[in-house]
Amino acid sequence: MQNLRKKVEEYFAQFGIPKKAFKHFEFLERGSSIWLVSKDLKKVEGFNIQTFGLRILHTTKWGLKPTSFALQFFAPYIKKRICSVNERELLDLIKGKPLEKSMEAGYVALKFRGKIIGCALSDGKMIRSQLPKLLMQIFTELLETTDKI
Amino acid sequence: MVKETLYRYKDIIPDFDTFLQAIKSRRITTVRWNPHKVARKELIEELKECFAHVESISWYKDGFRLGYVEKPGKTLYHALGHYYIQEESAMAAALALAPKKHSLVLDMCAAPGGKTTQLSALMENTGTVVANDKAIARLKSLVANVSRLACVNVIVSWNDATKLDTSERFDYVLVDAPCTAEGNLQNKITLMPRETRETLSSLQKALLKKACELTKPNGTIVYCTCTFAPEENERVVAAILEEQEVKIEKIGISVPHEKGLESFGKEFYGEELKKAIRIYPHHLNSGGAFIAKLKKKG
Ligand SMILES: C[S@@+](CC[C@H](N)C(=O)[O-])C[C@H]1O[C@@H](n2cnc3c(N)ncnc32)[C@H](O)[C@@H]1O
Repeated sequence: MQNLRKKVEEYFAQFGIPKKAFKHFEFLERGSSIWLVSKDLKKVEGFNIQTFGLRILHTTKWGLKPTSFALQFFAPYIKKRICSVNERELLDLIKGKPLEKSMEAGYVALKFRGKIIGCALSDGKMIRSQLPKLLMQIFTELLETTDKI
Repeated sequence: MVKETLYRYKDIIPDFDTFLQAIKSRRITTVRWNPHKVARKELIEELKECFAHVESISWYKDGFRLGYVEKPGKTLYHALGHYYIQEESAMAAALALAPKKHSLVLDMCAAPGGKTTQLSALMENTGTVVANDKAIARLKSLVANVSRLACVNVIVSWNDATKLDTSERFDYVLVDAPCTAEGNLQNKITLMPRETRETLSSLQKALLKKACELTKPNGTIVYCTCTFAPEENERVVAAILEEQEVKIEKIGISVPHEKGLESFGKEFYGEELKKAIRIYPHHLNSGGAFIAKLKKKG
């Protein structure tokens, strides 16, 4: 358990998220996913469980990857690895078009209109969206249909 | 098959004409603050930025009326989970259950998660809410809402709640039962066939019976629907009061409502049922709701 906490804290430190951001929570590792759960979450028996709390990390063949919802949740603490995008750039990213931006390689937090909205991947020169389908759908609709975003 | 209309409720709904009028009129959009993602004060600013009219609901300060809005979900703040779009009448059941922080809660019929996310908020993201639903297709939206709103105290499960086989016992159980949803009839006054109502009534009774079984002694159960039919409301609760070790309690929230019914036609449910509440569309310019709160004997 302590090891898992250490693993999560160390991973998110690259975004500037301090340890104290996690102090009210616990973690669960199931398969390739790490979930953020309440401190006193009861692992109930006899239920066909689909999800626990909020999925914050999962393991890929290249290592750990943060979820967009995790970056949104810890947004107030994120100080590093931020990639700010405008409307046009966000739409391009969502459409699968990489964005030319030189940033240190690895996962970055996408910022739009002053808010952290999710995850993207930098290879050093280009940024690619890692937003889940659900968020891509939400942002596409938002960008295409309203000016009040 | 005889097509019944809302006129079957003429004698039990006071201000029946106002009620009929409200059924036909356009409803005010209401949203609920999600404390897991944003401060309340900040949300108010965000809502004001997006909508012309923002007013806190008098009986529930964390709910907001936005007036008549076309697309309340098309904002960045909704995408980020700062608020949940929920009918005002649907905000009452979780408040009636009033789960304490750190408790163990079961939401038996949870998808798409309106009440689950509200329970999670009321518990300040502590303890456990098991959000269960039988329909796999609806679980997707439940998981999406739980993720968007960052409810870290929610476990999503996929079970037929009537067949749950678990040794867990809960402090609080919410049964937001599948129903004929007459409270959501807009512009229509023709009801679902009587047979549908009767089938649902049996399922509702089975769900509530299971809820009683899974509740700890002295634990609380809330049964609710969004329909007017007494067969799906008072009849279900009256049957359970008769056969289970539970008693009905007063609901301590100040939402405008009428009392539950003692009887309907030839059916007699008992005076105790007056402790349940009925919210009609004209009360809030919202949907309809029936809510009963039960306590399991110690
Ligand atoms: C009124 S809706 C629930 C709305 C939800 N509580 C909310 O606030 O967003 C009723 C739900 O009951 C589910 N349901 C129907 N039969 C069920 C059963 N036997 N076990 C569990 N869920 C069931 C339906 O799939 C449906 O999602």
